[in-house]
Amino acid sequence: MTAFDVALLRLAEWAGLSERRQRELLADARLSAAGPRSGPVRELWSVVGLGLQMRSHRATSGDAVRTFRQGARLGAALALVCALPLIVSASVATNQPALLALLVGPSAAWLAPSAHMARVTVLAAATIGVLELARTGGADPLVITLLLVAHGGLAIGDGEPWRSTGFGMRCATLTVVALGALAGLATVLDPSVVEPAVQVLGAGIIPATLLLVGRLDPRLAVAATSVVVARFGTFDRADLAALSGGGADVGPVVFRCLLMVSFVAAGALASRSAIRHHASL
Amino acid sequence: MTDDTPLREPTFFILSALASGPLHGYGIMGEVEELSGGRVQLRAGTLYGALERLEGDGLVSVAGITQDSGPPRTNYRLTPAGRRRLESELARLEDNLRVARTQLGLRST
Repeated sequence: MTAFDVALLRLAEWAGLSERRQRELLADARLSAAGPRSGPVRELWSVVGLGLQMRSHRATSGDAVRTFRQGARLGAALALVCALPLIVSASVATNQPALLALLVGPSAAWLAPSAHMARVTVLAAATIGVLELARTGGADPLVITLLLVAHGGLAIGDGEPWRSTGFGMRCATLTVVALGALAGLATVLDPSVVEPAVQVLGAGIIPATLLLVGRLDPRLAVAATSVVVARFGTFDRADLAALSGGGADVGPVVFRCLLMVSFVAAGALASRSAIRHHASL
Repeated sequence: MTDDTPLREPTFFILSALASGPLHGYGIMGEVEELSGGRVQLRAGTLYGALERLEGDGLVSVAGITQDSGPPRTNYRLTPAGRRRLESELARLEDNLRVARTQLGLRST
C-alpha cells in the first residue's frame, strides 16, 4: 500500500463509509489520480470534503437548529481555548493555580459536544500551552502542569472513540509539535513575535479557516462566528466609557464592532448556504 | 428533499449516466465526463458522496457485483424513483428553457 492508499482509506473511514465502499473508493481514486486531469492531492481533498459533509449531515440531519446548537457549543469551546493564555496570565499573577485547574478542566469537558471533541479541546489547550511555554522561556511550572494534564487526558481516552479518532489525534499531535517548534524558533529569533502570533491564530486565522470549511460543514461556520463574537464582543469598562463619549479613543472599539458585525454577517451567509447545500442532492 | 428542488449538476449527470444502464463507480466517472463534454469531472470523493445520498433516498440501487481482472466492482442502476426524479428535473429545465427562449425571441429547436 502506498502513502496515498493509506491516507485515502483513513479519510474514508473517518467519513463513515462502509468497508465495501472504502475499497471501491480506493480503486476508483487510484485510477482517477493516475489520469491526466486529476491527481492524488485533488482526490484526497475530495474525500476530505465528502467526510465533512457526511459527518455533519449524520450529526444534524440537515436540521438548522441542531446545526446552530452544535456549532455554538463548538464555538464556545474554541473561545475558551482562545482565552486560555489570558487565564494563565491572570492565575499566575494572582498565584491561584488551583483556581485555574478548577476552571479550565471542567469547562473544557462540559463545553465539548463529545468525548472526542473534549480531547481535541484539551489538545488545543496544550498547543496554546506550548506557545505560552516558549514565550515564558519554559520557566512556568503551571504551564508544564497544564501540558501534562492535557496529554494525560489524551492518553487515558476510552477504547472505541480512541481507536476511531486515532488518525485525527496523530494529526493534531503533529500540529502541536510543529507549532511548538515554530514558537521556540520564533522566541530564539525575536521574543516579541510569539504573543502576537497567538493572537493572530486565535482571532484571525482559525475563525477564517473555519468559515471557509463551513461551506462543507455548517457547524464550523457557526462555531467561527461564535469565536469572533466572543473575541471581539467582550467590552471592558474602558471600551464602554469610550462608546459613551467618555473621552477615550473610540476608533479601536468601533473597528472591533465593525469587524464583529461583518463576521457575523459572513458567518450567517456561510451557514445558510451550507445548510441549503446539504438539503439538495 | 422535494421533487421540485433543482438537482446539483454532478447529481444530474450521475443520474443521466445511469439512465442508459448499470455502471460501476469508475464507469460513472468516465460517462459523466463524456456526457458533459469534459465540463464535469467527478472526483472519487464527490462520486461516492453523491452515491451515498442517492442510495439513501432510493434513487439509485446496487445492480450487482462483477469481477474481471481487477478487484470486485459494484454496479449501480437507476431505480424507478430515480428515473421519475430525473424526468421531473428534465421537465423543470425544459420549462426554464422555454421561458428564456420566449424572452429572447428565439425559435424552439
